[in-house]
This record gives sequence, C-alpha cells and structure tokens, in this order.
Amino acid sequence: MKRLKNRIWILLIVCLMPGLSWAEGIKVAVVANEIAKHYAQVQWETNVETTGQVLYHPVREFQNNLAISIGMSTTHTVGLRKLLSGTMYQYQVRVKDTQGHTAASEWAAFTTTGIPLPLFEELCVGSLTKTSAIIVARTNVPTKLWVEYGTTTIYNNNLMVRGELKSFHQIALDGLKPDKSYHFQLTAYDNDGHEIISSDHEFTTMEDNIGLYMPTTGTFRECPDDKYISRDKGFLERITDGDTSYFTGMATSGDVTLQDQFVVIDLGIIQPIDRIKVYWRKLAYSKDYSIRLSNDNENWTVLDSGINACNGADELSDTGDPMKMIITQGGGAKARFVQVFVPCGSDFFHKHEDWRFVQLMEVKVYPCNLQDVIEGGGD
Amino acid sequence: MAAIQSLIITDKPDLTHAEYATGSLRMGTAGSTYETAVGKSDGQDSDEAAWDGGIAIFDAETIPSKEGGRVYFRVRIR
Repeated sequence: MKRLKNRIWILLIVCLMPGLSWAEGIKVAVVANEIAKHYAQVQWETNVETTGQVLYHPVREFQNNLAISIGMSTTHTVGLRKLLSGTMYQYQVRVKDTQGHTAASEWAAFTTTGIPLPLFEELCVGSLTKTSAIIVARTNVPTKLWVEYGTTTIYNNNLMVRGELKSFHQIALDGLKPDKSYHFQLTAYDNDGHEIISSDHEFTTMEDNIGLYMPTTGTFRECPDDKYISRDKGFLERITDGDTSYFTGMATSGDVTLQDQFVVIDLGIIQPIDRIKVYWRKLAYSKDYSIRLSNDNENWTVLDSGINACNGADELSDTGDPMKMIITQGGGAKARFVQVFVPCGSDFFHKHEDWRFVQLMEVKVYPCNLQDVIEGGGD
Repeated sequence: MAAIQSLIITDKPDLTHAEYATGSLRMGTAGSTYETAVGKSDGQDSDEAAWDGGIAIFDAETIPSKEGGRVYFRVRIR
C-alpha cells in the first residue's frame, strides 16, 4: 500500500513538472539553454523515439516560426537563430513517434540577452484642440523621435524631437487647421541607431464651432411627451451643447401655426461668419426658415431666407436619430447674434398630422478667419 | 496553410556506420533533385545551411503559403 502511494506521488510530480506533458503515452521534457543575443537552443527528451519541432515567436508579436528536428531520437537539440536581442520568446515542442502518436510540451519562455530593439508600447493622441494635437508615445527603450505628419499619408510636415533619449514622449503639433483630418507616423531611434517605424495614425482636429456652449434665447423651449427624454438641462441650451442626441440634445419649438419660432445664439463678440450649420430632426423640420444676423440683438439682417431643410444632407445624430443638416454660407458677414427664424404659418415637415412644431438638434457657427475676430462687440 | 516566417530544419543522422560527405549540403525547390539543388557550405557562415558537430542545419527562412522545398545532404556508408 505504501509503495502504491509513493508511485501515485511520483506520477503526480511528473505530471505537474513545468515544460512537461503526457499525451498518447509520450512524455516530453523541454529546456531552453545557451541563450545569447540572437540565439537560443531548445533541447527536449522523450521517453520513446520521436521526431519533433519547436514553434516559437516573440511574446509581443505572433510569428509562424518553426524549427524542425527530423531524426527519430529520444533527445533532440535545435538552435533558434536570428532572434531579436533582449526579447522574450515563447516556445512549444511538438513531437511525433513512429506510430504517429503526438504530444506537445507546455508553452514556455526565454529572454534573449542584450538590449531590445526599439518598440512602440503606446502610441495615441493625448489631446486635441482646434489647431493642435498632443501625440503621446511610449517606447520600450529610450529613443529619439522623428515625426512626420500631414493631411494625407504623404506627410508634408516633419520634425525631429530634440533633447535626450527618453521612453515617454509628448509631442505637440501646432498650427493645424480646425475640423481637419491629419495623418502621422513616428520613427523611434535608440542609442545605437536602431529604428522602429510606427504604422499610420489619424486624428481629426476639433471643429471651430464658435457657437458651442454659447447662450441661447428663443422659443425652442418645448419637449415631446416622452418619459425617456432627459430633463436635467434646459431645452434651449441643447441647441448649442454639441450634443445631437434625441434624448439629451434636442429642442422643440412652440406651435409654428400660431406664432414665429426662433432661436438666437449669442456669440459674445462680433465675428465674421463663414458658415452656419443647422441640424434638424428629420421627423420635424422647417421648409421655410431664415438665417438672420445682428450685432445688437435688435436690428436684424437676413443672411438667407426660404431655406428648405429638406434640401439638406441626411445625417445621423449621436444616438442614430435621422437628421437633416443644411449649411448656410456666411460670406464673411460680421455678427454677434445668429438667429434661426421660422415664420408663423410657414411650411414645415411633420411626421404626424397633429405635430405643430419643428425640432432642432444643433446649430453650429464657424468663423471666417481667426485673425479677423473683433474683440469687444455689441456695437 | 499560413506562411512560415522562419523555418529551421535540423537533422542528426545516425553515423554509427556512415560518415557525412563533406560539402554535400544543398537546398532546392519542391521539384528539385540533388543535382539541380543549390550547394551550401558546411561552415556556419552567411549561407542558409551548416554542418555543425554531426547535425545538418538548414535555415529556410521565410516560406510563403502553399510553397515548399527540399533540403539534401549525403552520407557515405562505411
């Protein structure tokens, strides 16, 4: 009985040894040794004669690498060549005996000696403004960075990040254009001149919507009878909140058949207007509205009238609600107040017969040129 | 079958009754013969094969998907 217990213990120990498995009666014991900068040797032993192969690749990146030992033997040695220095590899030995039975070791790992080649561990855009972007890069070893960027993958601009080699980089790209898509690619160089080139990355600068979060007044103070619509902020302010969600970003007018409906956005200062984007809910929009401008909120000039939102582009809101987006060109006209004006009795689309309102998801105002901004305003 | 990025083939022949024929390492395409395959030097140099202490080593490097090849060496029966 005592002898039986000992045998069970030996069996358990054998089965739990790392790098050793038991399948189809074949036992495989594996070890990696002679590990150097670009070389490692994998040896294994089996209880029956087998042929075998080693599958191996860097832990950080799958590669289909194979080292085969053809001869039938109980001991095998294969050298893995051209390895990357300072890199952790994982490997597994798979064997086959003369009967065709197969077995595999557990995956194991070794790390080559030397300093690893540079590698991007993190690469992203940390923050964005209308005209700038911060690129955040982390490399596995201290590096210098070469940055290429542009509006296409041709990368018309480039810069070398000066200073000491370091592993964590924050690179500021300035002088960008608002609401524009940019591509960039980084090359990191280590102390020995080894390089790693990143894949292409893309970001879009924030749009230059000068109406964003600006105060609003008007008649879009209503809300559909829907318990799922958020009540945690005013409805008028949803027109300039940057949110086009039906639940949290939409404003509903009063009765279009009874009185004029409008919203006025106060830009704070007089600014030259390049264009105005109006986002209507596609189920309730005006087919005859005006865009009006003013410097004092009293005297209005009509920028455009008789605008039919039906002619606008189809877009989806932040939550997928269908919208009509229509752009009115400002032509550089200067104004502090922008008004979307829906005349009483004007034509409007309403999905349901009993609807007497139109619904705005957002109004965005874009300036002509930042240099033309007039400080102060009000006159 | 996916491409193989790195393929190393090793063989340790039983030399009890044979000896390695010096300079007999060759590598060729799947349709090659020993005569048409490309000769490789025995030393551990820059070519893709070596005879290293009784082990034949072939470094076939990258093998594209669905492609193959042949490796050769000779032994002389004693």
